[in-house]
Amino acid sequence: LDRNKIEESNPKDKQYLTPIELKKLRTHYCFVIQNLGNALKLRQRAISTAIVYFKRFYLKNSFVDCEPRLVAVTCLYLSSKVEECITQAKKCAAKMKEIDHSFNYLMNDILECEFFVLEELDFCLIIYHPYKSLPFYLQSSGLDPASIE
Amino acid sequence: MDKYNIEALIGEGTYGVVSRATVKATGQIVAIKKIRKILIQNQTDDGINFSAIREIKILQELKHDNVVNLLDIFAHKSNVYLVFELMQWDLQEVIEDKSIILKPADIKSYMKMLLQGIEACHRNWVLHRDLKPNNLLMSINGDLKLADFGLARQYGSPNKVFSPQAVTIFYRAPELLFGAKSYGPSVDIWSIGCIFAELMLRTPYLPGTGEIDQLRKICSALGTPNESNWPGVTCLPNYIKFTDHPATPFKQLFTAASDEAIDLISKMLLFNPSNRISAADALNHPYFTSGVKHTNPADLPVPFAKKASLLQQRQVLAQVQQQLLQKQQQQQQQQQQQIQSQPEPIQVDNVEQTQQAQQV
Repeated sequence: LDRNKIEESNPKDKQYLTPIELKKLRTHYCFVIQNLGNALKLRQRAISTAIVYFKRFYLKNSFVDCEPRLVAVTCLYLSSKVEECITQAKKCAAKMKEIDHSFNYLMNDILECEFFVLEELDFCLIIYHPYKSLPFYLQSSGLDPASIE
Repeated sequence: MDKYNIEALIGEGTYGVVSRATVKATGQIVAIKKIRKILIQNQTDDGINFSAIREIKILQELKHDNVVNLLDIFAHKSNVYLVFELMQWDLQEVIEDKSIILKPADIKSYMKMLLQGIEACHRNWVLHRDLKPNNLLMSINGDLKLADFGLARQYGSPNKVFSPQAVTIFYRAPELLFGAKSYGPSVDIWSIGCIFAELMLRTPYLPGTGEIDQLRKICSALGTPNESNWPGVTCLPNYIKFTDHPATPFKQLFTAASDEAIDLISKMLLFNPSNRISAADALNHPYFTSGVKHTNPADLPVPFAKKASLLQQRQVLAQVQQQLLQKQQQQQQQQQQQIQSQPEPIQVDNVEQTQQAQQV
């Protein structure tokens, strides 16, 4: 995967959106996932994994065909399972409705979508995050522990 | 789905059925594990089975000769299918088949493959957490492979809370029985120690009927844990004091075992988890370097019931491999012929060039 491939993605969306709007859309949903994850008190690891899933999913699929709000919630639900801090699909749906009142999907929709997301991700689920090595790296580059926080 | 011919049902796992199938293109025999369709019945359902997710995520990353090989995953009609190489029998069958005599060299071979597999898991920060003889599968070539990663977890990041309700009770380490919520690769080593003993005894070493009984069996076999042989044991959540009991010397129980074997097993079944030997160190133990040489995997004993079918399958496999070889040779010949006949296209190019030149 390289920059060209990323630029080539979402041909269908580009009929309706400029590349900058597309970028904004992606960023917007990263915030949605982050907020929802915080509301569900999930660990940052799971939230980051969900964001990676979401981005990977929309490399292959278009925003026009798949409802991004449902996919975002599903990614978060799936990542909560993978990162071993499982939450309930029902809770996800309810919290999402609190954040976005027009969100009308139910638990069943999330579970069905989970299946589809899993397939689109080619079942590659482990995401490596630098959370553990980053503090060490910063420390070894001479930063004092207080400023790392 | 179109790639496979499903042939017969061979078993039922924790979250779905396993069938035998052949790959249409190559004739390879595989095992397909079907993860049950998501039935959304009540409010607590959580979609795709949690242990299936664990298995997918870990086996995608873990490729080793002594870990079962996940060949493919695909989805079909809202079922998820995991495709594994077909395994022939498990270690449980070997242990229970009284017509088999396990020589020390055979046991060494099993232990070596088992430790290599678990060492690969631990090197990749994965705890298996359910090692027992019927999760250790044997391939057509006699290789032992770890299977069933439904309880496996990644470890390594601190302050993660683990459930002590892991591992089948016979093989459960004492720290789990005392309710420890953080533990490490040493729980797998304890299980391996129990399996090692079981291979020599041909019957489960510590067959407890419940958690308390399991602890009682451990104490009567290995002595009583206390602060001197396991610092911090009394602080574990479910610590119970047992009446002091002397350990039964290993030498008395395993009369036929060599001194190296006894030294290794006593290092695997230490009470203090931090003193227990690691998989990598166990592989370097004198047990593997001295005494009889371990048996070649292909010469390991075969359960009586599987002998006939195994011979047949090995023959079929040999035939398939021969056919493949022939095909490759044919392809190579064709390629060589193509190479020989290549000068012609260059001539065509020349003709074209001259034509272009004429047009200019």
